[in-house]
Amino acid sequence: MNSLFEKLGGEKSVDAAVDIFYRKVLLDERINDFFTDVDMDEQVQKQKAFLTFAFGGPSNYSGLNMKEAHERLVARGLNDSHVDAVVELLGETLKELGVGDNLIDEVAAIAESVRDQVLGRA
Amino acid sequence: MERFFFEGKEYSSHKNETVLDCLLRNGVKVTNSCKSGVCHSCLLKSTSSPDEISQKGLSQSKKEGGFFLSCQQKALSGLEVFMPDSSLLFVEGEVTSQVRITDTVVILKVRTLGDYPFKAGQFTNIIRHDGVCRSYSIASQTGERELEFHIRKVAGGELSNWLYEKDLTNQKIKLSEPLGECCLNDEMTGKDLLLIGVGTGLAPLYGVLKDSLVKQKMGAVKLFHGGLTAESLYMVETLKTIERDFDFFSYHPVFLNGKEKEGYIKGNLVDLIKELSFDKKNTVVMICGDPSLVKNLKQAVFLSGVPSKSILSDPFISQIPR
Repeated sequence: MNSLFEKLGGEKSVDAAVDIFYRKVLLDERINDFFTDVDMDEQVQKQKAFLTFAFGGPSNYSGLNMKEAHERLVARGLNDSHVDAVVELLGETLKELGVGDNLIDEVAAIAESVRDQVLGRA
Repeated sequence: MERFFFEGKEYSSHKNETVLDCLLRNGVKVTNSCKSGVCHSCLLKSTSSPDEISQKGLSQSKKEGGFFLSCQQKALSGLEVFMPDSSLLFVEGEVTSQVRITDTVVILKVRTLGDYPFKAGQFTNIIRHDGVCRSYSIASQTGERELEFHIRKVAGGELSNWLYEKDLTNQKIKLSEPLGECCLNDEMTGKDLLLIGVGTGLAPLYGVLKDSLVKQKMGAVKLFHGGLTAESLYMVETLKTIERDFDFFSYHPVFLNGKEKEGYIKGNLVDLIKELSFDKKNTVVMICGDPSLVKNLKQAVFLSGVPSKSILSDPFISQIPR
């Protein structure tokens, strides 16, 4: 049985997804304020780490570093609606890449699994 | 157990331990975050051969420079590791000329007294005898013996004022090893090149431009040089001459404030770039200069459809004493 990461096409698909996803994020007025101020190279690396994690790939995303990484954004007002938007854009990105709905649901579930840490509730 | 060296000191690793984990366990401060080889925050440098996996995803110039991701590198006996910003590799240089080309910009030429391999587009640190040190881009072409620097005198900038005001001809300074990845590489051959420089952000791009004229075959090469006023732009005649001599090269001096001027574009550089039509998929874009403008230009170029991998930049981050 192939892992989710393999089914999605592994690292190659992360590379393909990262620009599409990051463009959506930068253009989305619900959330782009959190992103436009950050250097692009750094953001691309972070988005890659996030996508690798959400795709079920090899990553050491832990609750603690997710919480720490987003503390400043939570202080600036990051809340559930913003996480909703990110998950939505993630789904749209995968759809554009021709990924089926069932796999998109799996990816969304992984992204959801860190919602509370991201928002500092866990 | 493996024994490796960090900054000359020996460390012993546990079984299968990475260089990063071993150093952290021993109380050495090394920046790190994802420990997955993704975030690149744990970069260290080695004079021996790091494993292929620990250089995965690094730029060619970083690989060639011996950089590796310490979270991906298993500790191996014999490995010699250094902090990348350590000032181990100084080369002496002698100032050969100093031309104050505008009220605030001086073009300094320095002949290195030892071997100094660099690629056009890289930067180095200029170190004065008393240790005061700042980063400046190299404006020379790859392989040139004489290094050219474009230095803008900034308010309160100790080194830049010294470099501008004081007569330094024949004086010695020190240079650190060249760094940075705003350079041409073999994979770019034949692609179009869009160079966008703000202020002395022209310097690294001027080096890259010269490489593209004589060393590496590129497609169409466009250079946008932005400044606050028409007078703040420099090397205009030199660049116009190059434009006349090379039909694949076009030069666009852009300024924001002041009266319209023939041969110049008056306008906002970011807006101009947003509206520029070029082959998004087949163009390498390099952006250098003021960090906030670089950030905005990078986002504009990326949103216009250029892949993030094709956008290279060198934001000039400066520390101005308060």
